[in-house]
Amino acid sequence: MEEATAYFTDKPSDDASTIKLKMKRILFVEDDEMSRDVISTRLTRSGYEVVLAEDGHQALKTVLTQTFDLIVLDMSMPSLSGWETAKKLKASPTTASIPILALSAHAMSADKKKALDAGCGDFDSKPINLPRLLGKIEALLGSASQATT
Amino acid sequence: MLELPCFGVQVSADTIGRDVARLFEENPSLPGVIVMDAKGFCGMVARNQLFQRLGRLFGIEIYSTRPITAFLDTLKTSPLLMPAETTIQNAAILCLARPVEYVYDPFVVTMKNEPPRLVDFLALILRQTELLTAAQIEAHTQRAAAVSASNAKSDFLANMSHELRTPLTAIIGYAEILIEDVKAGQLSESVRRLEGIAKSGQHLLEMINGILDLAKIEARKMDIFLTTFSLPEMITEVIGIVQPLMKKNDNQFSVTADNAIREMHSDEAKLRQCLTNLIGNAAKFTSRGSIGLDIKKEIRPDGGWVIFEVSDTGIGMSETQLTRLFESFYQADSSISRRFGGTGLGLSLSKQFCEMLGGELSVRSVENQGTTFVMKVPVRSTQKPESLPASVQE
Repeated sequence: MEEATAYFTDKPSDDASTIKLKMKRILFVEDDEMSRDVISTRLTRSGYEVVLAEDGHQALKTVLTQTFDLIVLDMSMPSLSGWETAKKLKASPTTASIPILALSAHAMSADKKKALDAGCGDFDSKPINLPRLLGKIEALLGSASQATT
Repeated sequence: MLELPCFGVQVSADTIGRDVARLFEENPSLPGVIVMDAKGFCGMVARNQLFQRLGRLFGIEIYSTRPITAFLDTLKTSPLLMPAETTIQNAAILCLARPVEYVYDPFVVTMKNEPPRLVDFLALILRQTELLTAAQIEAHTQRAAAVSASNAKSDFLANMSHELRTPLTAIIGYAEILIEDVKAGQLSESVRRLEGIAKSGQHLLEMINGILDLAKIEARKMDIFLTTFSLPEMITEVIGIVQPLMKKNDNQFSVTADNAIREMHSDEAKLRQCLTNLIGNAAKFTSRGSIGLDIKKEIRPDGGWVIFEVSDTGIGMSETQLTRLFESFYQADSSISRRFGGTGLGLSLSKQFCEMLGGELSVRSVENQGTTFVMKVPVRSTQKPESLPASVQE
């Protein structure tokens, strides 16, 4: 795990526990340019180091050379969808342990089930609600660190 | 009731039992005979009742020489008389309500000014079963159609939700980022983000307008405004709208028109919308190629038709893509609207507009070679009440 310098968000929360001392690395996979820009900006400002991938193929390449604490994965993408990408990530021993948060504009309960079935640890819908998204990210990061200790 | 096989065989009251039995033997399908005396109709003798009586111990000796009227008195609940208007269902209920030993008897159908006739009980029950089965099949078909329509609606709503959420992600996200920026006095990227909001808002508006149009068509509230207008003028207008779109991908645009058609009687605004949409699509999916609009006249037995052909040398479509092309929100893949723009509703709307004007819209395409849309519209459209495109009627 890469050590990062202490980072404080622009707007420190009242709850001191949310201030991160070690920057978590997130791979954000999203094909829509504006969604990529908006959500990555918000995640960066919330204290994460965000690496971008524009589609599933690029994501699978990126995980070969870099380590991540979490993958935030869009579901409907051209050529290699989020569902297929999640399955491939979970099938590979080097990436199977990285938690995946599915993020999709498909907001029906069946869409959530489909994402969980593909191996995602949780699901959130677009447009994002930042506190809700951060809560899910933290929960997945927490369970992942518990699993490794 | 008269749709069932009816039997009008009459015997006089003094005919002896043996002769009637012979009549039944000669006519295997005859369910019974009508007995007439000097006053007219006096009863019915069923085949099964006669043979049952004759078949008893000493029955033949006792009954074969007796007149047929001797068999009438025992049939206390027969004949069952029914007017010809009685429904099959009610006739079946009445017949089945008879004492069990008479259930299989035929019954008598009466008509004004006509001799009575007999109907076989089994023929009635067979018909009743057919009707019930047909009703069940009909109910099943209707249920299947309702389920299919409901599934189509759910798919539409799910797609709509997805398509509306994508631009909203940008609008809400950029707005929240801008709030943080303004609070922090960091305004360097504000214009880019505001442009993102404006562009996404515009996209959302186009989509909502498209959805409203589709809803109007489905609710049969989409009005058609038929006017007589100049076709060359309309085409000039369309060229003015689409010409700027050609520069973006460096496309050449050419128009050829058959000058024989000067005037059309149709809905000008809807035709213009269809044409700009088709040409706009062609421009979107073609780069450094050519796009053509070709207008021809066709004479058919039902009058003159205008054929608009919009062809391009663009990316084309596969067979699979072509089959779903006119579905709402169908784009070859969901990222197309983002890469190429568009709402995913334009082709679905254009097809339905064409059909409302009495015309048709078809397509042919070869992958990586190009696509041609052919829109055929009558020179003179007629307003039909309940005008609804064929593709919505299912």
